[in-house]
Amino acid sequence: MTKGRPDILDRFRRDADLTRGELWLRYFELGGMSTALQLEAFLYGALRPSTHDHDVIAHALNERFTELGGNHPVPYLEDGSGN
Amino acid sequence: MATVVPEMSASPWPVTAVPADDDVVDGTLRLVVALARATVSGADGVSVSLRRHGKLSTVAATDQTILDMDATQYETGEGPCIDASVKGRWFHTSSLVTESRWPAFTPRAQALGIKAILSSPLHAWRQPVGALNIYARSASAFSSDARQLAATFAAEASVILTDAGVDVSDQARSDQFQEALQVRQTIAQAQGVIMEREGVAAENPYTVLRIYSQQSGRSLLSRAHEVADSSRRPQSRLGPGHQQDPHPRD
Repeated sequence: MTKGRPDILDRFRRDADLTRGELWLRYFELGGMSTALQLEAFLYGALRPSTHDHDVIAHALNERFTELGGNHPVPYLEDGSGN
Repeated sequence: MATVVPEMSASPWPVTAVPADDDVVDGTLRLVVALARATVSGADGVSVSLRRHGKLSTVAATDQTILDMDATQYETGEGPCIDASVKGRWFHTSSLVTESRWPAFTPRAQALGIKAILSSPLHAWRQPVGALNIYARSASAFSSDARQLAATFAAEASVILTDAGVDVSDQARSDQFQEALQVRQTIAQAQGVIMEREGVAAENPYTVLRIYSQQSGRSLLSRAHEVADSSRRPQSRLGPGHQQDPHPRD
């Protein structure tokens, strides 16, 4: 399940000043398994990412926000507690 | 062939588009040029240079003098436009009178009445592909606010160029993908180490690694390097909660 509206990741992507292609490359670097087309579908809300995929996308965005001098504004779904 | 665009008095903001071909890209860049001319304080002329088929050319310029300025840089092979397009960072000269970096270009620029230049790089897929060039007939024309605004226009134009896949060579794309694969491999190795040492389930090592990264304030790749390296060291320990970091990088 994805918390909130499905297009929230795309809003963060725009705030992070990343194109969809750049985000996919960062997602892929971090171990993402979905194709660029699937990622676009996640961003548009046409497909719902798994918890793992959501968190990889979130971390790719958060690392970008860190590069821009910010913190980690994109919430994760998995907190490491096994919940 | 470059297109000269008329000056604008309005100050719309900002420009974002997802173009599909050169015509749309060029049209959008002409708009960026017009907006930069209208809104960047001190700007007397603006152009966009873009590398296509391995060669820099001017896609849009506000007037003939600016076209000549760009052309002079292409001819001499030097100048802020060339450097920004190749090196991928901005170049600013507040007064050509004291400028020494481009000895062949500078006197010809002065002859055209230009005193200051600000060239901001344009990127596609993180590769420099061109420059947004802003020219002034007065020395010290560009304030820090003007430079920031120029950088914003360049960033917006870079989004357009990246979405359009503008002239990033197959080799550049291949290099970028190879780099991504290496990063991915390092992260996978680190996850393997975490699974083995901490006995976590197959889907969880990524989360463990990501939390390491968050808590340490370092990139996930940096932490992955540390974890992967630690597997080659006897008695190394993992995680931010441990007192000894086996491979401090800060």
